[in-house]
Amino acid sequence: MLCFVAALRGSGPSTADLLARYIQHPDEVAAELGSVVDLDGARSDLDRLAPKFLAGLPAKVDSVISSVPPAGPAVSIPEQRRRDLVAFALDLAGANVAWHAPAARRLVEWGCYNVRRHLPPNEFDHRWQLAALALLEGEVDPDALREHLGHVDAQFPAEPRALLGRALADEQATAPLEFVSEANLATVNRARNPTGASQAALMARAAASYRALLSVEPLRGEASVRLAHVQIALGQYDQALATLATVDQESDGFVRYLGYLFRGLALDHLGRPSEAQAAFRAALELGPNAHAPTMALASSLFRSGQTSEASRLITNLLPNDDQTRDVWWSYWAGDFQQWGLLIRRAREFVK
Amino acid sequence: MTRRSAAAAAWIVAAVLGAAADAQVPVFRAGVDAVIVDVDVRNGGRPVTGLVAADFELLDNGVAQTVDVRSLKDVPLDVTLLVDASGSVDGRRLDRLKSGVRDTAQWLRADDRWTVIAIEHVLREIVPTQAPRATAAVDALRASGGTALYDGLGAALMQPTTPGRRQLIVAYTDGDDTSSILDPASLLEIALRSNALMDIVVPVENARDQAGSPQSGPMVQQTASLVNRATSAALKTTHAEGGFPNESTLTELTTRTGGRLVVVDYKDSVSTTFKRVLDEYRTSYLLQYTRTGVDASGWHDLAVRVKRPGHLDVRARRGYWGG
Repeated sequence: MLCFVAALRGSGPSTADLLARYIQHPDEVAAELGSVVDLDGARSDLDRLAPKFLAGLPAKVDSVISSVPPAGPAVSIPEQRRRDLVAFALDLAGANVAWHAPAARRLVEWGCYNVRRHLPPNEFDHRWQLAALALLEGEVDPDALREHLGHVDAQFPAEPRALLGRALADEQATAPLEFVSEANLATVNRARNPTGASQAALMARAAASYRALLSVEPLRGEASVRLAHVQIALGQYDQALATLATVDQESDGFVRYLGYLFRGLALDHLGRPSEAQAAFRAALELGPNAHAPTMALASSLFRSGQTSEASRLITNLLPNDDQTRDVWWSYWAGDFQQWGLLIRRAREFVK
Repeated sequence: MTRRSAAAAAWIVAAVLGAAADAQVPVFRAGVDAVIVDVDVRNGGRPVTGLVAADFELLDNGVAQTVDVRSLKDVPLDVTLLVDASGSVDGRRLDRLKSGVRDTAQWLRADDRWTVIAIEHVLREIVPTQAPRATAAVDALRASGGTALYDGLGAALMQPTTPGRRQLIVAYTDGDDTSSILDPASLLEIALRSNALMDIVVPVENARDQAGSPQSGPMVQQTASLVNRATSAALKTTHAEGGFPNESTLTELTTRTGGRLVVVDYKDSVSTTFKRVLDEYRTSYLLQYTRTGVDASGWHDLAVRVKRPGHLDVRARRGYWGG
């Protein structure tokens, strides 16, 4: 008989009970998963459950990946059970990552191992990996992100979000430490400077990574705004403006919003306040009352002597400032802003 | 020993004639260019009282001006409390902070107004501008997220001002900025155009042990312009880049507004600290003059001197933008 650790607070349901309910009502139960306090315990529980769910999978993922061509026949396993288990693991990690980041990361990689054991990868695996990638990007831990990207590459070598993820990992190594959770601080510090590279050198590497993606069509827009962000940080304001030259033509609102915001910042640094203000206003059209362009516009106006309009902006902002209006907050976290959408798409395969 | 240093604050009043619709921009009409500068005068850390117009010499772009003098005791205040409520401020620190904010309402006068803004990664207006009274909203103050410190300081400095009232901003922060869109250079520019005076209170670990016994009460104080070297050196042990994060930016910021940086111990009562900041501010003087002999536009250097014998610490902002 299996004996499961009750990983929940107090006398809550066991991991097995949660999983059983999750399989029946994944969306509802996913909302309850944030109360788990012992993710490592939950992972051990899932390990004990695994034989029931993962029968037929090869034991060694690395040997399978290297020896079986991706187009080979599907491994005969109870596919639905596998999906249920690894989707649950990812949901559980996502629901608790804010409080238990390292354990959540271990849980993701536990799930990833069992996703990679399945060959050839299918649509569920793809969705799972995109959601996992988003979750790990949100951790702002470039080491862990790079490690996971290696796993994604093995299954989906041409996945554009993974290509962008690699560049993002380079930029995350330059993130202000305040964007890094306490749990990841030591790791990030090690990752950002294993060779004693200067911040400027790290940024130059991030810029090179983004620049290389400008020719990859699905990524061109986002790579542009991220490259511009690094260029601004390096004081290359003219180059940033050139990078953002076609941002108006982007169809992705996230890209255009950040593009206008960064264009405004670059223009402001170049001492072109009127154009900067126009750019901030363009960002505000896409994100009404968003914190970052509101503050940036007010600042530019105030410093230009247009203090009354600046004050009005501040007066309107203060009672209504709301992070959900501003995707700028998620800049460093990459695709994490899409986590909710991506995990729901993976969850669609749970029955 | 730390010494209460003199610092100063200046305040440009738009208004005067013609009831300026835009209170934030000095509007000078009918040839009347009215400027108000607030000045703090100390002798050995104690306020110097009883000064009259003849005691002051004020140069506006090097040209002597004829000033009228008022006491800040006679002027209603608009006080903005700007408190760091980021995720790192929790438990007892948050309780002390709430208590300090609550108590401040009772130290303000009936004709004063107050505003309370919490700095997280966004800015939360806990108490909108209103008469000072206890409010349950302060109890709802919670700690979460990062710290958009520069954004918070900038927003407070850019708030609209009301003629006839004095704007005082008191920020309580550990100095760390986590997520601002404003950079230090922009913030410092904003300070030069703001009419508000800003004091920043920075709690540090073991401030008293490091700085020795402060001369006046529990606060370990540093002047904006004359940082006590011994204190500064001691505080460097608490932070790799100085006494606390962004020390140089915050010091310069307060100096530009005519305010001061006040370093306290984390264990000090926030209530007592806020009360002292307010009490000491009320002992300042307001110097008002009609600008003569200088162009209204552009940057104006200010120099204020007190014509009394002895070593007096005079704090006033360095200048202002005119029109």
